[in-house]
Amino acid sequence: MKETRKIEFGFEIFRIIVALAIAYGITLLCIMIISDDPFQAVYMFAVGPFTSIRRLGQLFGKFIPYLLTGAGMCFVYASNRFNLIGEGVYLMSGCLVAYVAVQLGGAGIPHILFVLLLLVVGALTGALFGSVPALLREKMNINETVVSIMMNWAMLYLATYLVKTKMYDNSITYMASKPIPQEARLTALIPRTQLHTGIFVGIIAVAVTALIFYRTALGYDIRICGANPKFAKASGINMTATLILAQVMGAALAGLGGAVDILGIYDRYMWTALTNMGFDGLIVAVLSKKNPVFIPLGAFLLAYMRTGASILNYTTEIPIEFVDIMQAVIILLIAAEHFLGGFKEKLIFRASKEKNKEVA
Amino acid sequence: MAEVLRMQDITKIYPNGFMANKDVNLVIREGEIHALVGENGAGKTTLMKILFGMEDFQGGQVLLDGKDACISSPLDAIAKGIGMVHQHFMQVPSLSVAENVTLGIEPGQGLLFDKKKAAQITQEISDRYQLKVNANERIADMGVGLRQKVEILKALVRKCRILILDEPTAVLTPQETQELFVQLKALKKDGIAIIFISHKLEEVMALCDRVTVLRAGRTVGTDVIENLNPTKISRMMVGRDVVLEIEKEPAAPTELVLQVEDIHYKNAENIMTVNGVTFGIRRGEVVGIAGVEGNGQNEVAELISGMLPLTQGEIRICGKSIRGKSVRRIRDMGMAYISEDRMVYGCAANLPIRENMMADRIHSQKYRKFGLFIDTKKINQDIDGLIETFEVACDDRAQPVRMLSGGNIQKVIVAREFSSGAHLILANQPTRGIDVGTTEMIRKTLVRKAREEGVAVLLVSSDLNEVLEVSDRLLVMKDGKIVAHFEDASLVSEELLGEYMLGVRQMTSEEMGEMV
Amino acid sequence: MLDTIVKFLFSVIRVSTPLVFGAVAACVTRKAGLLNLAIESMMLASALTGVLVSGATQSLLLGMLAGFAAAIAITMIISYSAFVLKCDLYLVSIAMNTALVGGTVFVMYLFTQQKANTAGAIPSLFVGSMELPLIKNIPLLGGILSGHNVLTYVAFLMVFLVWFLLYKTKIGLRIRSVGENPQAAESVGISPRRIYFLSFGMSGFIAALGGMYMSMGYLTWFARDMIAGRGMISMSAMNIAVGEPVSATLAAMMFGTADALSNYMQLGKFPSELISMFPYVCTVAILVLMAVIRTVKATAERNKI
Repeated sequence: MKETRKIEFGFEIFRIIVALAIAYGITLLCIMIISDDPFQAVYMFAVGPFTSIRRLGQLFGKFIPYLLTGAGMCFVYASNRFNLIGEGVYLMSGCLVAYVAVQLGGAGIPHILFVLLLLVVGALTGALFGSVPALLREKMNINETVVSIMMNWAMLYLATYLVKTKMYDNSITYMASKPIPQEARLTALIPRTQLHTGIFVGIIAVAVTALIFYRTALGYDIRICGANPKFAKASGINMTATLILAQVMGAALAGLGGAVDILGIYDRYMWTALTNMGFDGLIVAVLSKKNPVFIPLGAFLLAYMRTGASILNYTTEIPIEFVDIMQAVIILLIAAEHFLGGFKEKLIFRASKEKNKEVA
Repeated sequence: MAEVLRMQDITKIYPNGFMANKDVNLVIREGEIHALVGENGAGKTTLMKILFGMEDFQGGQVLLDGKDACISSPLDAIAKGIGMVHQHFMQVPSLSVAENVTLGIEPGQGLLFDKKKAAQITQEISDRYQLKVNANERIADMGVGLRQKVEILKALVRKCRILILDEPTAVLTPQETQELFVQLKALKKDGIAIIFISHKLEEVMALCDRVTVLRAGRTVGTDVIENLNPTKISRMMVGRDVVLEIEKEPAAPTELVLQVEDIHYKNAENIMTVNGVTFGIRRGEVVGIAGVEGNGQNEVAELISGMLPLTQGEIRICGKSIRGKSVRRIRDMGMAYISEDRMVYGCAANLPIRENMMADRIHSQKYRKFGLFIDTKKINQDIDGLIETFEVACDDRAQPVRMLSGGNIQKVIVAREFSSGAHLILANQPTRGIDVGTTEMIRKTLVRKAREEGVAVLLVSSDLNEVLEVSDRLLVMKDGKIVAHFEDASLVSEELLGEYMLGVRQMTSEEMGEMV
Repeated sequence: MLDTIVKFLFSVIRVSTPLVFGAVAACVTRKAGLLNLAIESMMLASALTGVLVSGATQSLLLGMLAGFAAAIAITMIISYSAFVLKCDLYLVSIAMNTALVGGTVFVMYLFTQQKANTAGAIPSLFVGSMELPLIKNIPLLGGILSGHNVLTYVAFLMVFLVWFLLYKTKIGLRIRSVGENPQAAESVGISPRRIYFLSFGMSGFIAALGGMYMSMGYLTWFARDMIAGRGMISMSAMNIAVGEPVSATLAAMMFGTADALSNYMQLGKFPSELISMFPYVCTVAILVLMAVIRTVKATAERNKI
């Protein structure tokens, strides 16, 4: 028995590494083919994020919201619901947080209090909008994937509408809100970089998620509901409440992510298209295999790739969009149960045959 | 008679390491009805899935007409003249009989589907073998017996030479069974070889020409029916002459724990599967419910556990009604439930032993720490204690349950349910398909729980040996009703019990007496 | 006034065309029991490929064939990952959508050195419009129905073809049986996996027409992100019609009307965003309504017994 478990565990790690290596290899190959100066390009992509403080800050600027959306999607993914509401609430909460910040700016609220208030607004926005697909799914059995995707687009238009009608700044040429007051913004830990105090929010959120997962009854309930709903019912777990709670908390974390991002990096609300952060959060959750402890690792990996791509984008002519393809490859290979599965079965079969031989 | 099929030294190991078949041999001759018997989990279904191309296998070979036949898929199996009637009907409810029967071999020119032609072909075969099926009727509107005929039609339309029937009589009434046997014998006259999988030995004796017995994934032997009798077959199946005997003192039942009053249940197919059942269980006694599977026993257990909603009648635990209560509330009232299908309702295979053992009690005050959190130390202590007490063979508490053997998975489940401090334990097929050692442990524990801790135990089982050995009082269910009640299970013989289960006898309500 | 209405209804049909393609494409997989969330990516792939290849070869036929091939290639990747490698279908579909939003920009840049659109850079071909004989002479109706892009007529023909495919052919019977009971289909030798591949492939073929309509009819160039949620709107049109091609088309037309309306409103002061929200909010509302009806029916059924 021990043998089987060892094979499975080692195999999982091996599989993730192979998947990442394949995706990374494909990307490097693409860069080399299209670039005039392939070695410079590959260098920029692979090492670029670490070549200056500013670039490293940029990496952290992405890492921070990934921690939050990753933790949020971990809740959703672990409860085996394919609820993508994180995408929309990220944007919606960014919008409302900016709105509240603009409205209350200059009212003399102390910095810390102001930021905390805004973070609460972000989380509540997430919870509020996130409760819709969760309730519809658990109370009325309506497909949460469809509802959440529909709501994401609706929220995009709603946010744009709010910017146009309630927050529009006439003094600038592009569509954005009025500037977010300085006292509402998260301070940079290293001046003029994107590494801001939001990182503490992110770390706390991941820690709380891990705590909920492994140190509370709710965490047990979520995992059991996600792993086998029929067993959950037979054990007397209140599935409706558990699953609603998991999805709402996931959405609240995604909302918090939107708030932290807008207060940490932007000086105005200016998202006019879906940010893709919710989906990136799902990737982080997939990378961390539903285990919150691994979220920082997954978030860092994704932030690193995204930063490398964006550095490549402005140092060479190669468009940033190629990372989207790379991401899809990683998702495919890691989420694919049967990727290299035949190899695993062979190993287990051999082990079990040997064991049977010993017994006989 | 010519040999049409030979399965030689078949070995099948599932990805989780479970060996379902080990060097199994099966030889089928033209125009015979061949019984394949064995306990649940003996490997019959796996063997048939291999034959039908639904599972691959690691060792051995399949020979058709003496030639090596590499059956790669069900389509391939059908093309080679093998037909299978599955236990669960493989039908599309919204389509007509003709559409279902011709699915996969649709008549019509090119891409077009010719519905009329399909109906004509279906009706022809149905009439030839007198299966009495209307080709244009919608499957959703038909009864179980007729739907099974549709399955046979499907095989016949495809000109099968070997027909596999997987426990076909489990869902039929006695009349339907008789009708089926007449039709099967007619098929046999046409030269079709039939593989008949069954648990019902009297049916095997009445219908079959030869019998192959499987036990624990291996072939025990094959013989012609003339050399066999039910006792012989059953001994080959269970492989022991002495039944597991359980020492127990006479019961001294005290106050009522469970009261079931005139409950009814209608399933999704609108069939009244529980039809007016009344009984009670007292502290300190084990009450068994015997019956051929599918006669409402499972539904009774699920109604008491709260898995099915109680709509008609009344169920009380310690005097309090469970109507409208959630499973959690019923468990809080002192109910523990070992469900029939352990992989579906009994555990979460991908989660560690820890989560599986804690599933029902993680919210208990006992494991609270600082209000919000759980006391991991206490949890780990308790789990390690349970693993030791119930001798679960595993690496540690973090090992996913799916990596354990069937018997050890069941140990994880009973460890949980036996340790919840319940007044009432429902054990629904608690030892199905698991090893003898674990079986004995579970049976003994059930009795001990009743005697030493004063628990009321309800045992639902289709294993005759089990209900007779473990129960104090015994009920028999047939067609959703209780047809017999024995005050002392130890005085009942298997033969007598079998006659009640199969509906040969039935007690009057006076004979049954007060069932509490 | 009358003229405005005619023009408006004409534009409703014009903007509904890609939605109709998408909706019937989604019906094919829905009948096989699968939700197609990746229509978006199929449309994007074919829209770009059609433009690139027709521009390079100066052959409309080759351009369209390449468009079909691109969309079908996407469906094959999705099918292989989901049904062979056992990835979560929704996850793959969403990943594919994101990959294609970026991927098309990337490929466009490779060929044109532009990141916004192919206008001016690639002399791509397009499908022309067509006057309907007889109908064009009918007052009002002629103005609404005639003079559309050829692909628009193909779209409505496609609705009939898909209906015919699903209900009158052997393949359709198999698709529906797999959608309702895959084990049953498998037991008679129909491989559900093959049907999934096939229905996704057909879905990709139909969606490709929608994509090419966008870049080679509606517009005559490819622009980044040009599908902009149309795949999702189509999927929801199918969803509220429970996979029935004709009802799905009606739902798609309803959403098309909202789209046309928001185009008109953009000219005025009224915030068009609220109308753009309509299809999405409407879908959720209809899903809720359907669920309520389902519950009421089930309760009535239970009380009857």
